[in-house]
Amino acid sequence: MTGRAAARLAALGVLAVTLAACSSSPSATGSGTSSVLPPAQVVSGATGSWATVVMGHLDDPLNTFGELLYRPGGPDCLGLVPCVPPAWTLATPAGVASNGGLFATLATGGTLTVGFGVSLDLTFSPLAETADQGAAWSTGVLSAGLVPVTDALAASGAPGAPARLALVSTGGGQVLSSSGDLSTWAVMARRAAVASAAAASGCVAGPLTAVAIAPSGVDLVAATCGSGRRAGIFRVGSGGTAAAVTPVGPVLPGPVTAPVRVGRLVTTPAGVTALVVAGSGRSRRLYLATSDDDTATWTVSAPFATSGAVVASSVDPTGGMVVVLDTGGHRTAATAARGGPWTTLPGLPAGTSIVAGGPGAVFSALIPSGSTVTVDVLSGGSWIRNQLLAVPIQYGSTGAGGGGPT
Amino acid sequence: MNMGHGLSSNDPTVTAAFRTALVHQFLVILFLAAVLAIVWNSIRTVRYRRMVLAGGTEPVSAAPWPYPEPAARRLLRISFGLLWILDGLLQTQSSMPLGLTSGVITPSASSSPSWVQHVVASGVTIWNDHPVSAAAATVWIQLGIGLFLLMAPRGRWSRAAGLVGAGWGLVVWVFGEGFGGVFGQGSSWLFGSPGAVLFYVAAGGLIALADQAWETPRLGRAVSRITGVFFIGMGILEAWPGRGFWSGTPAGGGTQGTLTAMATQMSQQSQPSVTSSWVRAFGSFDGDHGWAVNFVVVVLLLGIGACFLTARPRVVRVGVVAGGVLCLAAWVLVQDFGFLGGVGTDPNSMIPMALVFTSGYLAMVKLPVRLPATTPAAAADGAPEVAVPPPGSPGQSAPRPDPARRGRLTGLQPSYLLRSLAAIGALGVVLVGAAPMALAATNSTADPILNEAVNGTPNYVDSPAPPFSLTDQNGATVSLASLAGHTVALTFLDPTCTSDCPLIAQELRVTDQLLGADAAHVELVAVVNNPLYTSPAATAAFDRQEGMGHVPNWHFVTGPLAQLHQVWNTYGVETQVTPAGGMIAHSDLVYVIDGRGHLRVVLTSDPGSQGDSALHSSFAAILTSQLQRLVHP
Repeated sequence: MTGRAAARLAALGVLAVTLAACSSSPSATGSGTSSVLPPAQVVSGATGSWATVVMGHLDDPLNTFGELLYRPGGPDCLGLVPCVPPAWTLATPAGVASNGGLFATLATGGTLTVGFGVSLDLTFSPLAETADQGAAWSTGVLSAGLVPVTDALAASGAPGAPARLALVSTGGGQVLSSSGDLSTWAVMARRAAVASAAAASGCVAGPLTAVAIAPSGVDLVAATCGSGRRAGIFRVGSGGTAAAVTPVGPVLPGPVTAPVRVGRLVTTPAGVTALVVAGSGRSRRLYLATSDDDTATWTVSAPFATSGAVVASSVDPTGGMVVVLDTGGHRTAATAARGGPWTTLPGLPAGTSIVAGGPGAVFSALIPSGSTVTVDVLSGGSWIRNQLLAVPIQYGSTGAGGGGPT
Repeated sequence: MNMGHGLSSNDPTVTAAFRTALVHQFLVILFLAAVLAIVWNSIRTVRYRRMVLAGGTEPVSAAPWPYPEPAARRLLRISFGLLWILDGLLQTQSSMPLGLTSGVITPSASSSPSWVQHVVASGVTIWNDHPVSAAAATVWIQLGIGLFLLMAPRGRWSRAAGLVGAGWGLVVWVFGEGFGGVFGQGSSWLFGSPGAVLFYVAAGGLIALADQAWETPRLGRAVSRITGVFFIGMGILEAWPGRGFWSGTPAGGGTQGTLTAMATQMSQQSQPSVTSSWVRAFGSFDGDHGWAVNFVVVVLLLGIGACFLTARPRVVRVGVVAGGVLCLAAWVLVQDFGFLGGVGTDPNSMIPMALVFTSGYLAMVKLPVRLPATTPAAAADGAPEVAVPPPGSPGQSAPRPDPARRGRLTGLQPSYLLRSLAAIGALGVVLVGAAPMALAATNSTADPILNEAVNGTPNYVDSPAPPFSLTDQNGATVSLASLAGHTVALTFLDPTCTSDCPLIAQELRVTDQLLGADAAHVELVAVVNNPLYTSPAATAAFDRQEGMGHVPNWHFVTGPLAQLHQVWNTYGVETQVTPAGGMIAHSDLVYVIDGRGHLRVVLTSDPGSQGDSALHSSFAAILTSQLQRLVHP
């Protein structure tokens, strides 16, 4: 090769390097160790209300913790003006790091079952259960991780005769059932069986989104439907095959935009309550569907139009619901009583995670920030500071090494 | 700076090991030098005797090279020899073993595409697994290359030195500099693109060229044109919009421009206050006049590039002067000399770049002048010796004797022989560094020193192990008595733990693999260490999660809480239930119990952070060696 040719070749190389430098794409950054946490929720029964919230240093997955709070039942206002409801206390079951968030379900008998979300190297969900408002807990494990949806756990029955369902992520979504020990679970239904049954009813089933046990003991599973007007709620019979899966969801009134997602499916003493979200973005509509005859018939609310995404929800013992909606960081709340219309609550305090209460009861906004939870109650159309709860979060207790907790 | 496992880059354990390795290898090099000195002396003695026997003829050189070493080549060889030595000395900084990858290599590749990061990660893994060997190897390889270049001025040895330098430079450019960041965002001539070591590679390649290449100005013109294209390319890159070089600091604050941010960052690293103030002042100036500064840089780069592109000596001279001044300014004000801060590995790109284009200019204008056939000047270059009879002697008209006929070494002129031996010695220095590194690189298990730095050295004891009797995941009773005759690694794990315990389980699994056939004589036992999750279902879920079901000698044992408490107490394991979603806190310990049921070794088993595979591998290596020590007493 002559010197001139070598120079040309080298020049081409330099040019190529320069152009490559100009067109290089952004680097791939590590995804870190964060996992999708289940949304905040409140479940209420005769013995009181339980709330799950996410708090700590929310920008650091290792220092983000799911916490369980408990408020005893009873008269909300204790005859005081302004209304002063009972205080919330910390009730997070011990023994497992809660960086993956918490799931909670309240059986009609008053037993609360809590599941821990997966995080870091923990890929299955430990469980804890209490029948005495958190004084004592029994423990168990699922063989897989709970799907990060609000109603991934369901329970029914009185203490001593439990029935439970769990929605786990194995195989793209499986429903497990347990009727005895908290660690003894069996596969009840797979997503494929639900999808097959759904297709027969005109529903192109997406992910499984919730499980519930109807008052009669019938097992229910919910899924997102990519088409049609029917909410994807299904009864699951014994065997869990497609033949044993029956669509029982309500047909939504009026024009409906797909997809139709069952965001909540909860059993209360009054029956089954479902939050159905149709469409997305500006075409999003919320429906509250309730059934007091084991899903044979449904009462569906008028649609509530919102562009906000549902980020938290609470269900009261009557089957009413409060949802927290997020529109580009701005949060609002709407509520609907069983069979009633949706109404919007006054503007929420900044940082509100979840609103407890419901029609006929005082509304409480839970506002976690760092290691404290502020509780504001709605009184006379405005939010009034009611409680400041300090939570002894153990920052650095997860994955920090250095001889710390393991 | 922290590697994530609690080790600072100046960890005293690792630093001490690094110093020790350097001292040991230096002693080897001293020994090598002594051997070469003996060889040198022996050859000279043999030569002297032969000269006496041959009648005392004077050795006179016959020049095998028709001209002295060209000035351009000499500039490259000596300057890059010195640069390699400087780089080698910089590698002796105590923070290199633990700080280089986390403080220099990984950050520099972080803005590059994922394929570059994967390539770099393969080198980083080797370095992180063997930080002491790798850091010491780098010291000697670079010192050796520098000495090699300085000691071998001409001939095959000299060209080989250039090739070795170019080869190692390529390794450093790819794995150490992530291809010089040329594929990354924000690459700029000012920041060192396309990588300082690429100029070392270029210099090595030029030194390795045959002598004929230096006889005409063609080589100089080629270098000049390549330099011209390079500068123009860098000027275009500097002018490219949207990369932040045209902005300084917006009025009222806001995001700093790319150059301002770099200057601010460089001024904050550890260095003398005077250099810091220069860089800070320039950063401030660029913050106020970002557009103007970049405009000047772009114009200069394009102008200098155009000068070089002409390949006309007079014009190129202007480019050399302007380029030299610009390089010097960028070296001081932007690159902050390149080697400050504790983990600086070289003086960055400006100095080697200036040396390369200056040598290109010299190769154009200072062509070698042919010398007479025999001259002392040539002898100084290290010419082979030829015995020339005295004038008027009968043998004067005879053909020159072939030096090879008198022996390859004893027939050489003394200075040539000395330089050859010195070159061999320099190559030996390279090998002293490279050989242990090559051996270490073939070992996928990390050095035990890493774990010892975090957890301390093993604690050797000899006392009867406290008895226990619990139930494993298969429902079988496992007791100290049932394990008699086997060496046991006993630890305490929380089955619902999210971080350390799964890592410890993986370390035990790796230990089992490292044991090989010896695993048949070893039992791995973990006692449940969570008072709230003690069921066999919990241990079974943990085993499934960690794939421990495939480890035949693995036992995750549990039992009634009272029994567990007793075992925890007798083994001194502390357990603490933490509130508000915290994990169970407990001691990270592994006990090694011999076949007689005696405690022999206690190891702290804190696995550090999740991503520190080197530390985990290091613990497995230590545990394996302790178990094997008892299996084969």
